[in-house]
Amino acid sequence: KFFKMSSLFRGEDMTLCQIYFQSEAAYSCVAQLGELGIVQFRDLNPTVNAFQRKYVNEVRRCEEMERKLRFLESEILKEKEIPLAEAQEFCEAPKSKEMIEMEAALEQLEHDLQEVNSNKDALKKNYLELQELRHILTKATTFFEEQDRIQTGEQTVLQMETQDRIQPLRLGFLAGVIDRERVPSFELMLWRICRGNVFLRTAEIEETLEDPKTNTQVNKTVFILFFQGEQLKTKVKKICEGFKATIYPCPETASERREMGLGVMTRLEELKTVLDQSLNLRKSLLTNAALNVKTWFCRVRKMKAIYHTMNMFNLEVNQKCLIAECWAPVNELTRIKLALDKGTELSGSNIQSILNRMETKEQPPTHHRLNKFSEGFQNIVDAYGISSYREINPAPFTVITFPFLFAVMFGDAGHGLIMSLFALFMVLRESQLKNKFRTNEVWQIFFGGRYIILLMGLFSIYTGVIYNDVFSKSMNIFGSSWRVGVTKDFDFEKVTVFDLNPNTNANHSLNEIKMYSGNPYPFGVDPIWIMSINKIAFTNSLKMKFSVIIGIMQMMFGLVLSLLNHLFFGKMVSVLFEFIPQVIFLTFIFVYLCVMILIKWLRFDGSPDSTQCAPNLLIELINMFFFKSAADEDPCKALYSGQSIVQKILIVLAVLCIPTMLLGKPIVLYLRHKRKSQIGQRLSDSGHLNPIAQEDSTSDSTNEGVDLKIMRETPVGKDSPDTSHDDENENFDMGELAVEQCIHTIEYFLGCISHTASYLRLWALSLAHAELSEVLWTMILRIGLKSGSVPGFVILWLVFVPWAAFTIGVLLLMEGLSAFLHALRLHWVEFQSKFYKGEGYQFMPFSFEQILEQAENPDKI
Amino acid sequence: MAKSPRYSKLHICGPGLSICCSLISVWGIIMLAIVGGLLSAKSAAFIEDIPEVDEHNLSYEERLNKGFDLAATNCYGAVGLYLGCLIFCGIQVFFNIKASAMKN
Repeated sequence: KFFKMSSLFRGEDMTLCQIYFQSEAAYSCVAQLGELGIVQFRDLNPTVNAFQRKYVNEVRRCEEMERKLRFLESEILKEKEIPLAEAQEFCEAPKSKEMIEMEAALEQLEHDLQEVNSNKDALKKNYLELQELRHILTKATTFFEEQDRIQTGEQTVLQMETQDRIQPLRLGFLAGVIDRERVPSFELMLWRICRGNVFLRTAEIEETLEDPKTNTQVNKTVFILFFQGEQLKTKVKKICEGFKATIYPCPETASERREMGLGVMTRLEELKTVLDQSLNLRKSLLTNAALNVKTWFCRVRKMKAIYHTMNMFNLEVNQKCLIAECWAPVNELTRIKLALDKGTELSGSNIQSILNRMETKEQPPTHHRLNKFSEGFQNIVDAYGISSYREINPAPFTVITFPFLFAVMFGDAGHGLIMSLFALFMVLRESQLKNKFRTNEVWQIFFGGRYIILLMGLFSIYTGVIYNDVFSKSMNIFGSSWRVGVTKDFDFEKVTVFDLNPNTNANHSLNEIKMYSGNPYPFGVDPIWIMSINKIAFTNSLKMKFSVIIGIMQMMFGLVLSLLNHLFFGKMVSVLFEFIPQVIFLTFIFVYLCVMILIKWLRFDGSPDSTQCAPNLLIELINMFFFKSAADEDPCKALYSGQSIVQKILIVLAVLCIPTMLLGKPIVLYLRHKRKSQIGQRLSDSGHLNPIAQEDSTSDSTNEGVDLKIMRETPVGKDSPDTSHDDENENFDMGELAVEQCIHTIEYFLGCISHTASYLRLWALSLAHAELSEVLWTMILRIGLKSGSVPGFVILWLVFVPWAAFTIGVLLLMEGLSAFLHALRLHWVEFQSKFYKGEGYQFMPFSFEQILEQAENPDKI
Repeated sequence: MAKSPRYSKLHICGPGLSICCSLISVWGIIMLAIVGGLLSAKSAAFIEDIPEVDEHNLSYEERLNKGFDLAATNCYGAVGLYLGCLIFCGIQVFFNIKASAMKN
C-alpha cells in the first residue's frame, strides 16, 4: 500500500527481468504481454541488420498484407456511400497458423478487385467513345448540309471562271471530338499551319461526359474539318493528335449515318447494362470487405508488432527457447507472470515461461502511473525533462502551484469565469469531443489541457476576488471601510480630487472626520480603490510584496524537496554540505525579508507619526549587506528593537555558507576516497579480495556510520542521479568534482537573488492585465454606457460585441497564453533548479493500445 | 421526408456564426442585466461610466441620480435587443441542426 501510493510522487520501482520463452509458446506469450502493456523490451541484437533478423520474413508478409489492406481501404473510401465499419472491440492477434488463411483471403480480394477495376475502366472508355460517336453522327447532318450548299456555291463560281473545268471539287473531311477548352487554340493552330485552307465547323455537346481517367465531368465539342488534298489531311491529322482530339470515321451519306446511328444506340444500351452490372459487382465486393477491413488492420498490426518484438529476442543455441530482457514495474510482476501462463496455455505448449529478476547498475526508465487528470500536468513537467529514476516528481505539486501562479498573473474574476466555463464545457463533453477535429493541432492542444485550463480558471476567480477585479470593476460585498468624510455644506463642484485620511483617531476639535473605520475589508482589496487616482501606486506595492513572498515560499519548498531526495538516496554529505548552507542562506536573507514585510504591514498604521516612520524595505535589505541600518539615523525607523544586531549576525552567518558549500563536499569526498584507497591497499596486500568493490551504490551511508539507508525500496538498480562521484574508486576525479561544486555554488547563490527578482513578473503581468482590462472598458464599453440620447441602448448593443471580441482575443487568449508561459518558466527554472535533475528516460512499454493508436493518428504529438 | 422549401430560405447564417452569435447574446444579456441592476442601485463603482446631465437647475446629487438612471435604461434596452438577437440566432441554430440532420 505504501509504495503503490508513491507512484506519482517518485515514480515506480522498476526492475530488469529476463524471460525464457519456449519457441512455440513465444508468439502467444508476447501477444498477451502486448495486451497487458506494462513491459518494455530491450533490443538484445542491436548490431544485427534489420534484414538479418530471425522473423524478417514474417514481418515482410505482414507488411504485404498491410499494403493490400491499404489498397482496399482507399478503394472503399473512393465509393462514398460505403461506410467503414469500426474495428471490433477486441481483435485478437491471430495465431501464426491463421496468418496463411488471412494472406490467401486478402490475395483473392485484391485480385478480384483489380480485375473488376480494369474491366470497369475498359468499359467506361468504350462507353465514352460510343457517346462521342453518337454526338458526331447527330451533328454531322447539319455540317454536311452546309457543305453541300458551299460546294454548289463554289461550283457556280468555278463555272463562271472556267467554262471547261466543271469538275466538282470533292473536299475531304475529318470528324472528331475535342475538349471545349482547347477549341480556340485548335482553331488558331489550324489556321496558322494550313494557311486558311481548311474549313472548321464546331458544335458544342450539351451534356457533360465522364472522363474515365479522372472520373470528372468534361465539356466537349464536336468538330468537322473540310480540306482538299492528301498533304493537308496528314497535317490536320497530326494537329488533331497534338490536341488530343479523337477522330471517328463518319460516313458521308445521310442513310449510312442513320444506320450507324442506330447501331451505336443499341451498343450504348448494352454497354450501359454491362457497365452497371460491373459497378454493382465492385460495390458488393467493397461492401463485403468494408465490414472487416478495420478488424483486419488491427490484427495485422498486432501481428507485425509481435514479430518486431520477437526480433529483439536472443535465440538459444539449440533453437529451443528464446530469451528476452525487459524492464517492468515491480508491482506488476504477478500480472506479468499470469499473462505468461495464459499465453503458454493458449499456445498449447506445456512448458512454462520463466521470469527472472536481474540486478543491474543501469538506470531504469522512469514510469509514472497517470490518469486523464494528472496526464496534462505530467506532460508540462516532462516537456522540460523526464525525471531521473526515483527522484521526486514535481507533477503532483504542479497541479496546484501552476494554476495558482497563473492566477496571480491573471487575476480577474470575470475572465476567470469565462475560462472556467469553456474548460468545463470541454471536460463535461469529453467523450464526444475526444475524436473530433483530430487534425486540428490547436484544438488538440486546448483539449489535451482541459483540466489545466479548468483549474487555471477556477484559481483566477479566486485571485480575482482577492484583487477585487471583475472585468476591471470592483465588487462591494461587505461594505467598504472607507468613507469620503465631508460636511453637509460641501461644494462638490469646486473640488476635483479629495484626500482620504487614514487616521483612525479623528480630532473632532479640528473638524476632522473619521474616514477609515479601523477595520479592514474582510476579504480582498477594498472596493474604494477603484475610484482612487493612486490605485496603481497602492496595488504595485501590494502585488510586489505578494510576489516576493510567494516566490520565496516556492523556492523554500523546492529546497525541502531536495532534502527529501538527498535523504532517500542516502547522501548525507549533500545534506550537511549542500542543503544546510543553502537553506541557511535562503532563510537568513530572504525569509528575513518576508518577515520584514510582515512586520512593516502589521506595525505601522494610519496615524500621522506612524506613516512617517515606515522604512523602505528594499533600502533596508541593501543596507543589511553594508552592516548599516536606517534605524541608525532615525530610531523610529527600526522595525523591532535590536534590529541592527540581529541583522549583523544573520548576514555574517549567511555569507559563511558560501565557502561551506564551495569547499565542504569536495574535501569530505576527497578524504573518504583517500581512506578507501588506503584500506583497499592494505587488504589487497594481505591477499583478501577488496570487499568494497562488491558493494552496492549506497556509498555515503555505509562508510560514515550514519545508517540512513531507506530499507523499504530495493537498493537494486536504485541509482542516484549524480553518479559522477560514486563509490567506484577508479572514477574519482578531484578536479572535476571541485569545478562542478564551484558551478553549483555560484549558480545557487547568485540564483537566489536573481530568482527572487524574477518572481516579480507575477506583479508585472497582473498589472498589465488589470490595465488592459481597464483600457478596454474605458475606451469601448463606456461609449455605450455614457451615450445618454435616445438611441443610447442601440449604441450599447453595438458596442458590446467589439468589447467582447477584444476581451476574448486580447485578454483571454493573448494574456492567458502569456501568463501560462511565464508560470511555466517560473516552474521550470526558479522552482525546479532547486531540486530537479531531470535526466531520466521515459518508460515506453510494449502496448498494443499505443501501437494501434499511433497507427490511426500518425500526426498526433 | 422531403425538405419543406420554406425552411431552406430561412436558414441564413451558417452553423458557426449562429452559435457564436447566440453565445455572445447570452453573455450580453447576463452581463448587461447585472450592470443595469447595479446602476439602478447607484453603485459607486460605475461613477465614471454615467452620462453627463446638462440640466443646471438640479443639484449635484440629483444630476448624479439622473445619470445613473439613464445609464441603467441604456443597459436594459440593450438587454432587450440582445434577447431579440438570441431568439433569432437560436432559430438559426435550430434550422442548421435540422438541415445537417436531413443531409445525413
